[in-house]
Amino acid sequence: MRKILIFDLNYMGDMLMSSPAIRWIKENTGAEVDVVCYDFCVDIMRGNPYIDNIYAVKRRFPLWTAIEARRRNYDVVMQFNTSLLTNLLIWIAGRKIRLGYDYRGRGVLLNRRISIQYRTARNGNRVGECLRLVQWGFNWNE
Amino acid sequence: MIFAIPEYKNRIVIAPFPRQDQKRCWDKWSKLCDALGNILFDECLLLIGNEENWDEAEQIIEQSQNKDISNLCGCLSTLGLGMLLKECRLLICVNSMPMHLAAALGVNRVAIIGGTPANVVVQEGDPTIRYIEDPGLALYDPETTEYPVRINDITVEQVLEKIKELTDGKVCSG
Repeated sequence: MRKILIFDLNYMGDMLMSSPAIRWIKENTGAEVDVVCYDFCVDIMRGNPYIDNIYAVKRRFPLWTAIEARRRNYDVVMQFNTSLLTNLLIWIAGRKIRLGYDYRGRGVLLNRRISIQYRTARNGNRVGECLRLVQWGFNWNE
Repeated sequence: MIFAIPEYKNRIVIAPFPRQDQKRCWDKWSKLCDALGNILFDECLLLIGNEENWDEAEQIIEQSQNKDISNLCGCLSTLGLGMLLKECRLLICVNSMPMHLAAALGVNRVAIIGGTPANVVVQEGDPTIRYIEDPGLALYDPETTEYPVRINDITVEQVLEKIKELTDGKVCSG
């Protein structure tokens, strides 16, 4: 069984807009889907049937969470944004597939990356943006 | 903190407070509450936000002639907010978490959008939303996110018009 970890370090509105993509992952891969989010966003994700485990963090750079995630040996570790700090967390946590965007070279730490011209949630519809990333990333893996 | 949400009235929820973004701040909430008070018959207005928005919400209520407004800032958990939105007649908001939560719940909403172009935060073809975008966003630069902020050019009449459109005139029949 596949295990997927998503670093979704966003505010609540952005997390709601990425939830259709999380549903897509769960419905199309059947994997265990775990999410790392800020502690003030836990209520938004709690009860989401498409998420198996939620790891709540206080810091923007939860290093120990990433190290612990590496021990869990996820098949895919990913984020929906272009944050370089989060890509570094993904690099620490992901032994196998590290999926995300490549914006201005920030994707260098990822091994599955899709080019993006602008930072996320600036130009195109946010929900569609997240869906395109997961559909590209997971269909490639299939 | 003890509060009561009126049971017997239709509820219109107002979410005026964006999180950490001055570009989404609109300055006519009191006037909107006045205008709604003049034309609504059996609805109460509920202001929502975080605990730190309490004082600002009290100011909106103080500046408004409409006294059928309740301040619920800091009173609701996220689950409680979801339950309230599910039961309300309409949400009037800026683009912030309540707007997205209402979208997920299929709740009618009128949004005043600033900070980010509407196409980023609104699903095309969504029949449950009407919105007015900051006119300055026509010059939005996605690289820098800069644009001439003109959100306060949006008038109360424009918001009322969108409410009429969305509710087929059942709210704000005038």
